[in-house]
Amino acid sequence: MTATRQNTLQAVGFTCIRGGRTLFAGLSFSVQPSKALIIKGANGSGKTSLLRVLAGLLPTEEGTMQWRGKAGKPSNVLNDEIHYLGHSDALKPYLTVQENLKIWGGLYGGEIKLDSAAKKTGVFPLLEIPVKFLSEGQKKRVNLARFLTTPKSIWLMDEPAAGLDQEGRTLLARLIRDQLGANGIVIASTHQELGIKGAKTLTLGIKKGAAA
Amino acid sequence: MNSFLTLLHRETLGSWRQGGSASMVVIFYFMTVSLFPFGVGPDSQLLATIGGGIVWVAALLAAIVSLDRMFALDVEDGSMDLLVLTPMPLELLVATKALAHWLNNLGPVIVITPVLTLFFNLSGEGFTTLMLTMVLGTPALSFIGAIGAALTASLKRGGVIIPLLVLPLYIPTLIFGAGAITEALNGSAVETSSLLYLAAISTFSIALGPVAAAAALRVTME
Repeated sequence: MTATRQNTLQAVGFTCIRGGRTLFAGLSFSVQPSKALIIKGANGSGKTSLLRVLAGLLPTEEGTMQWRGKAGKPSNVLNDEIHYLGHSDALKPYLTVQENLKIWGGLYGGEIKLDSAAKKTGVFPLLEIPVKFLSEGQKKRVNLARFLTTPKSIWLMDEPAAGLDQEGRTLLARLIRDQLGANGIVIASTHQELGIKGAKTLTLGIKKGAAA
Repeated sequence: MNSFLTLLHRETLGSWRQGGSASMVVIFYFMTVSLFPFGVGPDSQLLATIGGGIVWVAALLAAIVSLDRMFALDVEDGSMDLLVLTPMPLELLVATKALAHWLNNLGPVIVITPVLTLFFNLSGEGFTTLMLTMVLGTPALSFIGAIGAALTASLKRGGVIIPLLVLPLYIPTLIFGAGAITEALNGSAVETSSLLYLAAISTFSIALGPVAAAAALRVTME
């Protein structure tokens, strides 16, 4: 029980002010291991900002994170255990899919499971192709392969379903389920249904911003 | 160590494969230097006197034109976010990128410099000193330049602002770099002091440049 509580990710009192506008204030939520948190909200309600704050890419006025017995700023607590998927593909067009994945794998450290990652995400036949010839959906799949190349406990995903076809969304749901099955945590912002059973939903844009 | 080598490899691929930007820098350097003998005229005495300074000014410009790629491209395509999230400290990441900039852009510049000295009728002594100053001084160009590149990383047309930020900071390097060559040509014995200052500037900027550039990146990425 204590182990579960320790491994529960707890965010307490997060505040984000961008350009003089308060996106959220005193936002608190918790995510248990093997659970997903879906962030919803209208355009501009701060979904991306929240994910960037959690990743430590945006500084936060206030807010403490607790996870695995550590407490403090998100970047100090979650550091080295995050995979982040943003709006941009973060792939170099002049490198092949394989080179891109190898580079990110090498930079994120640990054992690189490139082949199995490529097979699971359906990008195996594309490995030798330069990224500039890939479609948006294919680039998204390569980014999912990046997540699998070096496993991390926490996935932060900003609109992961955007640009994916029906088959791709099924794949995404399966990968998220696998990550949860491996005791991981997934926090994703989305407008579409991801089809994750038992996921908590956090809706931004409500004045007090409390988790449902 | 592994991530350091991976990043170095990544930056090197970026420098040479992306339309060969690193080869463009060498060509730019070669052309800039070779314009002067045409402009000044075939006075071999005069060319020998100003040669060291010209080579150094051209090296500064070659460093400047390649700086805007150091961070801006990664900020643009979202790679910078992921680089920040790697276990690598941001300061080390910046230092690696600056080192890669030096190896890939200024390395070829140094290698081609002996060919350019033919234009300037440099004596044996002057040539040796020129090569020494280049090797000792050019690291400062990459590591000081990293600060300017970091400050302008998220601007759409940052490349135009970098020279305004960075060129003034290059002046000490230029003074001691070109100064050492003049001293050597005059046969004066104090040339080693200029070389030592040059090495000191490089060491100083290798130590402090990454810290300043990392701080600048943290601010510009918000």
